[in-house]
Amino acid sequence: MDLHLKDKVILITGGAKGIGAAIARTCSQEGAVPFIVDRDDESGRRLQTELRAGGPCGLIAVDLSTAENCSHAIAQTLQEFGRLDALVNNAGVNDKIGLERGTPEDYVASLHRNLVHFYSMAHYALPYLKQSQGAIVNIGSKTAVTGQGNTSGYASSKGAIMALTREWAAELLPYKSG
Amino acid sequence: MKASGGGVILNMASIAGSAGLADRFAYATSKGAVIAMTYSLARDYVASNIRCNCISPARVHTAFVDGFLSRTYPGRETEMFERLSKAQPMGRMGEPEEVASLALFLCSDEAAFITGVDYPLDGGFLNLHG
Repeated sequence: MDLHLKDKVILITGGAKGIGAAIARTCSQEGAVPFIVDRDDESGRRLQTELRAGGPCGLIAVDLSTAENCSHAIAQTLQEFGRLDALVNNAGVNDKIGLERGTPEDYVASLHRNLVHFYSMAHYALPYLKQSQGAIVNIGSKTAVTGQGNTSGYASSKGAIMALTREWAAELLPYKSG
Repeated sequence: MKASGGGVILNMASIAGSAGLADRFAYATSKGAVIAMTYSLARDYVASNIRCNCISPARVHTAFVDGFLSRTYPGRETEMFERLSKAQPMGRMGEPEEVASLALFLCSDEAAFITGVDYPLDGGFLNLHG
């Protein structure tokens, strides 16, 4: 493919493993600059070493459970590469916090693992995405529209992510970022 | 496609197939049928490795639009073009090449895990209200 992404800086949360790592690899193959944000430092370093053979690749090992850490990840990207063209909100885990097998505290913790950092990352990335007329891609799930069972936290996070995607598309229309 | 071990069917639907547009009864019902046909074909031939998807464009700037404006609003083509464009959430119509890019992707092996999906390509028409 040639999607005209050469030298575009693309931040991927949860970018060290799984779908996030595949996104980072594909960005690299397209000539873009992936910036991996992941709490798994070891996997992140391994992937960064692999991708650096083909071009620049950023990495920060950070847990996205606090807004401060999200802000730090964006700041680090800007410090290292001077721009941000796309945010891929990918990090999350189907953590099986159910209605019966779960507690209100577990549920809120699941929302923090799967939802709240989507907002925080987009919030702190927005000034730079406005400059680049960039893009936000949120990774949702089929659990947003079909029940799985025993995963209240994850499913409701993904439903909210679908709503946020439409909401941000509406809010950001004037900036040609979406 | 069955004989060669698989393939791709791409149907051109329209946002008229899933949203109520004024004065487009026959067109809208046809496009609604195209969307249903897409789901049905995808289900029936998934085991034959034949994928079937559809694209639902909103207003796209083609020669048809220009012809429509000159026939319907002679002398006011530019004004009406602007008015139709501004009625879209992005303030512009789509370009044929933007439809082509999605079509190419859906026909390619990059989209090998995608079947039975209706893709609105609408500059936000369906979801961005208010």
